[in-house]
Amino acid sequence: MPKIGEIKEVTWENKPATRYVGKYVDDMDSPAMVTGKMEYVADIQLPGMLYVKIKRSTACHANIKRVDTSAAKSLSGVIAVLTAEDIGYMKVFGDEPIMAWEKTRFYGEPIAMVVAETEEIAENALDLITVEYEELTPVFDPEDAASLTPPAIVHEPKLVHSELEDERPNLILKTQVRKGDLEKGFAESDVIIENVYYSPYITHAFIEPCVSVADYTGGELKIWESSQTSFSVHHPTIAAAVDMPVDKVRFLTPSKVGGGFGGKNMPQAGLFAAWAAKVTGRPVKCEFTREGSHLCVSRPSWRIYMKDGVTNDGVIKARQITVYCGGGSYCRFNFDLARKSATMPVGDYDYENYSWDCYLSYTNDQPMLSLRSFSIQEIAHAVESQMDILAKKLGMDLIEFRRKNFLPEGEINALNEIQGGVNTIECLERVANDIGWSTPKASTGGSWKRGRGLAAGNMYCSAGVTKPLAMVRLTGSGNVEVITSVSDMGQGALTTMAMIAADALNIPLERVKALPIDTQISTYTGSAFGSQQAFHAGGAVFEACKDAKKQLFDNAAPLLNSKPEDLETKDGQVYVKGAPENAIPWGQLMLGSSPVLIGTGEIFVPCDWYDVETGQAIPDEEGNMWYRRYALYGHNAQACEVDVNTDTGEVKIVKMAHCMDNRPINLAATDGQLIGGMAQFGLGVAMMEEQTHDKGRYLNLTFLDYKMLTSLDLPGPSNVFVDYAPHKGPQTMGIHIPTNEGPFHAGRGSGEIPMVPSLALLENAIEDAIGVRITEVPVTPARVLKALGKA
Amino acid sequence: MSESKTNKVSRRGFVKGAVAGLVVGAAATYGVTTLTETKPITPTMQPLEKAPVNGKTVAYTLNGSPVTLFVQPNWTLLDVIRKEIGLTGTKKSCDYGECGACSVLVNGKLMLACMMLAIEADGKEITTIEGLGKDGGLHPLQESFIRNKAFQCGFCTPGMIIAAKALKDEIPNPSEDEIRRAISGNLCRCGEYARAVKAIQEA
Repeated sequence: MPKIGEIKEVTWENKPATRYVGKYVDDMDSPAMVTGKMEYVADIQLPGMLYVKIKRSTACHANIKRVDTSAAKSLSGVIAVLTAEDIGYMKVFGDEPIMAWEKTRFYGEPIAMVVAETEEIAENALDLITVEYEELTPVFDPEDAASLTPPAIVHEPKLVHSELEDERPNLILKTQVRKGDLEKGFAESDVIIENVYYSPYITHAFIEPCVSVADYTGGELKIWESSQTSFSVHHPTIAAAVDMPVDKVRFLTPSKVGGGFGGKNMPQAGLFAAWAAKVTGRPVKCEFTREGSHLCVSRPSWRIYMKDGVTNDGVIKARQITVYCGGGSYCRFNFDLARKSATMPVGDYDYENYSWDCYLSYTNDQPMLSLRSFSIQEIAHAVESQMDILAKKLGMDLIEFRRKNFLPEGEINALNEIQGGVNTIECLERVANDIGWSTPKASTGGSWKRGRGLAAGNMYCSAGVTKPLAMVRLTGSGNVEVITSVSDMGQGALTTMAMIAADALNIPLERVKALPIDTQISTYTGSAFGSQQAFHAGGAVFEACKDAKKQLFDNAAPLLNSKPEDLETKDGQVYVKGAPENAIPWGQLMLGSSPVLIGTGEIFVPCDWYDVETGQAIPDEEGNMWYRRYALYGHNAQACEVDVNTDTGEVKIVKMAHCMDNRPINLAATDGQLIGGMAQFGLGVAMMEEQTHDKGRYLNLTFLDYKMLTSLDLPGPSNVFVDYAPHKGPQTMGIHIPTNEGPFHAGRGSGEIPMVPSLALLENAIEDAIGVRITEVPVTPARVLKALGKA
Repeated sequence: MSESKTNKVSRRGFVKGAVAGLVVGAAATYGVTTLTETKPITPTMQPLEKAPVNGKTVAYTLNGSPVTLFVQPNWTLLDVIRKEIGLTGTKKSCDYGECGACSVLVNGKLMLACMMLAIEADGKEITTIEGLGKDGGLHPLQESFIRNKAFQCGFCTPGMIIAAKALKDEIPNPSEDEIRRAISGNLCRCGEYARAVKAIQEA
């Protein structure tokens, strides 16, 4: 029973020996982080810096009749006040203006920006700006929004178009999956169960607010932003937003970002800082308030209809899922959200007859961004609740029922993907064992009732077709710099890259530095979304090290009277295998007068396109077929023990356990991802998080009223378990994945999967405790009492 | 609604009224109306002097060293530590006293620097995260946080370590429950509470 904080070893057949990979390694920034010396973007102070503050709308759907900034402009110390009229209709991702254009579509949309000598003056000036609105009817419910005749149309004319059913006025994207004959499946079923699941808007609530610093000199813009997608999203988006060529914009992110969770996937403060710097010619800082940081990003609401038909012996004959998602007022990455959400229900289980319909629509809510698992948690809420309900209804063991409907290794799922390297069932068995599933429950007494639950999950850890390229720079003194576009917002991703390079080049970790993002030198390895960095960037780094080694060995072979394949390197020296006494330092192998040697490495990560009508993976234009809509998936399971008070509705977590089928690269980091993610974005979201509003006006925009998990809401470390079930080999599918090689043994991204099972998990455990099923999160005391018929 | 505090009367909004009155109407307009050209606009105004209106010179003992500086009555201790003194280990996350990221010790007591005005701390002894270690070394709590991997993004870490220091000064060997209570005001969105509890226990 591996508890959090205890050192454990993850092992499997033919596990290679390593110096770092697969062990507990401190984050390279650790000393700076505990002493306050770590520099985050908000800590950057430039001489003569101005401050930017944002005026936000107080109407959720309205025509903007007039914006009066004259009083603000005349305030002493105010340098500039800009509105949409000043910067023009600059759109981000197709439909979102930087500041509201003619219309405001959510409460909190930026209306104007003030640039002033001090933060105080900028705040004072905001109060002097007046805005006149002509209010319009809003739409919030995801199902109303998807209607052919919705109560409000958010964008007229429509700026983005759906592949299917585009005649629905607010529809952003409809996706569907079809397999078999649903009617026939239901006819063959003994038991049919229907339920509706709901999860509300929530917000990312990263502890470091959205912040950016910008400096515009000599026609060039240098800009820092607290960002997780610097290279692929922020840099080009900001350049376009201020109408500058990308090569005149230099984007930097420190080696730590104070939390992102998906919410820093696009520029926020950076858009305003860039404009302010360009207009004033002076360095500027734009730091959103806590409210501003909550208003600019969120996760959408989901209503999910599930209908399952099952035989008495536990075989699911038909499963029908209809999903409505309220996607907020602007599109951003919503397309991808609707597409990826289809992968969850078919990642573990097999269905003879299956259908999936997902309607993603505009609403007058804040615009969304992916939030740690990008819809997969919300879908799993419905799927893993249904699995629990069905098993209990049939009187079957919870794991046995899942095993019975599990898609076997090598078989094709409903999306025409091949199942490979999956070990969900062992994950379930391990977490059940961790919380003592087979032992009697301790008595609780009074109105406290104890219950246990478990749930499984799966999630892609690769976000689409890509060709990441990394560089390693070996110096004559035997040190290495790793150059990628990896973002580190707490996952320890840069340390992971350094560990891969240290093992691949066989040198001490202290000699390796993985550089943070600076678009003047970084190479493209994707960004911190889709749990992909370990696989995509890590693979490219491994290839780059192989290239560097090849160059070293080619250069060394004649000097050692040997062949390159007979050489080996250790601690910055090259020698013939078995003869380390005749070693040549790297410095002497760098040709000419160059003090450095550069290795580059690229990998190709493919995935299939899909048939719009059936959702099935189909070959690309060149006829390539990978049987994968996404290249790599991870699988996991969680269990918990809870106490529920039938008088007050309170829920307490007594024990929690998480197991993933993974071969982790840095156990220190993955243990933290698995438990921290399950705690804060899993059980915390399940128990308490909801962004509430009154006719569109948000009511809980601060930490005082937006409740999130604290140290009191979790059990102590002796009741928190984290484990790994080694998977049954890498999922190659004909794809060359370098991280399957050597010491890298197919590590899978673990940033997002930790929250996938948790919503269903909590509801499953609560039902075990008090005998009633809750299908809406957050499971607040009020909802528990209502379910018990007491409120 | 503005980015300033809207849902409630804020401490700063309350204080700033008096100060704003002094500067309104004092100068010309620097607003920009048309910005189609890319040429930067050079501001003509000089930075505001820190006029000694209602201000006060205060003296602190900060991390063991004496500091004297001039502060305005509406400046928070947090902004003074970060901007005027330049110690940025104390973090600003909510600025409302809700997250604990700005925790410091004032005369040995745990305080939220965003909820304390800089003038209130006059004559007091202030300890920030930068002042914990002795002679350039790490404090046992800092060492234990590293050893136990008790953080991810690190933004809440300085505040949490300061809260743990306040606890340990009062109760040298706290129980698990006492630790959980002591850091319950320090929000960690990465969810590293379990390992933080262990780190504090083992420090």
